Amino acid sequence: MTLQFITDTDSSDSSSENGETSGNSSFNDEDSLDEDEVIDIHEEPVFDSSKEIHYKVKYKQTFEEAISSNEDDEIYVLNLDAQKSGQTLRVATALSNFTCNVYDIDAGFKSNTTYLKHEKKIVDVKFGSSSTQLSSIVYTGSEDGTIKLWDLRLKEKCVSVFKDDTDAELKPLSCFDVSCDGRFLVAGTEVFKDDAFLLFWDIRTSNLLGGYWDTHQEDITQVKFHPTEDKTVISGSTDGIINLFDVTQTTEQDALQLSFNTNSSIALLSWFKNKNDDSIISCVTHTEDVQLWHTTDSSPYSIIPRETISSSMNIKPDLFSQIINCHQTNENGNIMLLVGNDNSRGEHLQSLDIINDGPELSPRTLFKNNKQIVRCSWYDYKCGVMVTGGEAGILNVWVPSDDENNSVDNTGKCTLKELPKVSLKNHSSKPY
Amino acid sequence: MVTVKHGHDIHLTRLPLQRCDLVDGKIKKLDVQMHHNLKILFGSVSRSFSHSCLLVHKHNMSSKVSKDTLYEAVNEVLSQAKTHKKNFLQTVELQIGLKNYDPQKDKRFSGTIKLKHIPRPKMKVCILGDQQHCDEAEVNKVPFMDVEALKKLNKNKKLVKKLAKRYDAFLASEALIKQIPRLLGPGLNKAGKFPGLLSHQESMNMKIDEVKATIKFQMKKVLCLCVAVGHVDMKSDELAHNIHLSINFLVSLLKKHWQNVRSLHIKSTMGPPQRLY
Repeated sequence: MTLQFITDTDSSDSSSENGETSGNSSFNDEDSLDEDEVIDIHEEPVFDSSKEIHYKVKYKQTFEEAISSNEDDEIYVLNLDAQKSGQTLRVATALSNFTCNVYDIDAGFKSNTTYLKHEKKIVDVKFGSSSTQLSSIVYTGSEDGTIKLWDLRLKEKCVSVFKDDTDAELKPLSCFDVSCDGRFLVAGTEVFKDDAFLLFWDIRTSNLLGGYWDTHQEDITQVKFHPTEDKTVISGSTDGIINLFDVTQTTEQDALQLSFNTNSSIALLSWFKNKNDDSIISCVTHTEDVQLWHTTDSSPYSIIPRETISSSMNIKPDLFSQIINCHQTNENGNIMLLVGNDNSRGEHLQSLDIINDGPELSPRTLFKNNKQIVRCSWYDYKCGVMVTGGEAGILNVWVPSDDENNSVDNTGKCTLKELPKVSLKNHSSKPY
Repeated sequence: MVTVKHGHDIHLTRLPLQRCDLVDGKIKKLDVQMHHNLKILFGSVSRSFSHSCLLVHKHNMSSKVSKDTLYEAVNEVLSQAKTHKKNFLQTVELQIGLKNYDPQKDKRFSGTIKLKHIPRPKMKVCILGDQQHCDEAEVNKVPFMDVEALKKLNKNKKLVKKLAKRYDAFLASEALIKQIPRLLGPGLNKAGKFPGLLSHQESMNMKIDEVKATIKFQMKKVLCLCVAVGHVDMKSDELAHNIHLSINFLVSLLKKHWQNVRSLHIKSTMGPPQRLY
């Protein structure tokens, strides 16, 4: 151990870069550290200032809600879903404390909050579909083995519970989805007694319709109904296989239509439609790569490796990107990646457009004043609203705006100095 | 402001609150075990940021395991294997112990790495080929099956299971790969051995080597991960290269990088573990 911590009283160098830190932190280090290895540290920004980046679409943050009331419990926002009707945005957040909070946000102000509870971690949350107005139906799926259907209008909000009680224990769910006509539910489970299950329910009767357990070797991490065809379901697993099923077939053998080997571990699957109305599957892997598949092909038509994504971001070359999500940006089926990097103080968050089917990427938006590692996002290209949640338990709403940030120049370049000024509570009470 | 010294490249990471005590927004005590080539510096505390108040600057991710340490451990593993010969080829695995990682909240740690030197040369790969690939496989003395052979299995679960057991991996021609669920049912999927694609544009042997050089890693509920990175008949340079590559790749996937690593060991199947970090 040759590290040296210094009780630094002449910290002119560092404090100039780090405006809000007050000088003498007394440091009682119990490890005996070697006092002569003291050097000045210059905080290096993660942004690569050698590159001038032009962002096509400018966004500003219009809403911020810190969910965790107590600073000590680190609540993560693990998943979210949202819907917009008129001026109201309704957001449901699956939190790491087994709770789902549902917010109504009116013109940037929170107007209503509902709390929904599970016994164990909530793995995903979805709103029921409603074409004209805000849906009051929320589904939450949990590792406790249940999917609960909640009606926000009712006092006893949990209306029905979907579970597979054919075994003595309930199977821990890891993902779920609702069919496009809102009639069926499908859930994927972790490996339970050597099998990973896909389970199906009829929403109206809450009866278990059946399951598949012979198509994945490892935990199922994603399951998605096709956005327009009720009979088509895809599932993805850490075993790296995407399976496509026709659920109208009676047996699992007949239902399995196609399999795609990603040679990786699947973190996220999404359906997209391109302008020819072909179905596209986007797959984000746990090794931070993206693959795009046509359902008619036997290999991905595009593979976007992590190095490409990292180098397309305005970060230093030895830093790495984290993929948060893939979103459709217009009716032509263009896709953008929402990517982050956890190595800065105001966590870097930006989107990248996939150009000409990839792997070429171009910067789209820099989300300024982001304060956390983002873990989940929702985006609707029709209204342009982006919702993000993450590891500091913060929920943010972003809308397109030319006035992205009053304290920042409009070149789109961002340095650490431009990051949000975070003030201590006692600052305001400082006498001058 | 606290500065701690040293390093070449800089890299910032967040540390969770439980590792330091905060008093009046200042850090009073730091309980971090750090390696010597690390710089630390901390910033301010804000309400929303109090849990990530500490920034750790560190350099060159791979510098945590020096070349000397790596070679020393590799040579020790290899020489141990030479003096205690076994009647099979021992695998060398890399064992990683994690810390500050919450499987409930943090992203899954799982995926594949392609290594430069084949770690498991005895891996058996079977080609499910069209006519051209079957002919090529016959010349290359690679096991293969054509559509007719697959049809004979008649979706029989037991036979498909047996086939899946006989080989470590499969590669299939484009014409066949889409038919496999129809021909064989879900049996290969269940075994985690659904074939990769073998196209006519790539060389069969190179593709097979690629499959053999690709290793899977997955962390389950315990905070420990083992990956097979080589075998004891490899040259020390080859083994060291594979280990170096694996360490760098795996650490880059961890949120707090080296702050998530508790320990690193390498070990041959029958030999004692050697500590790297």
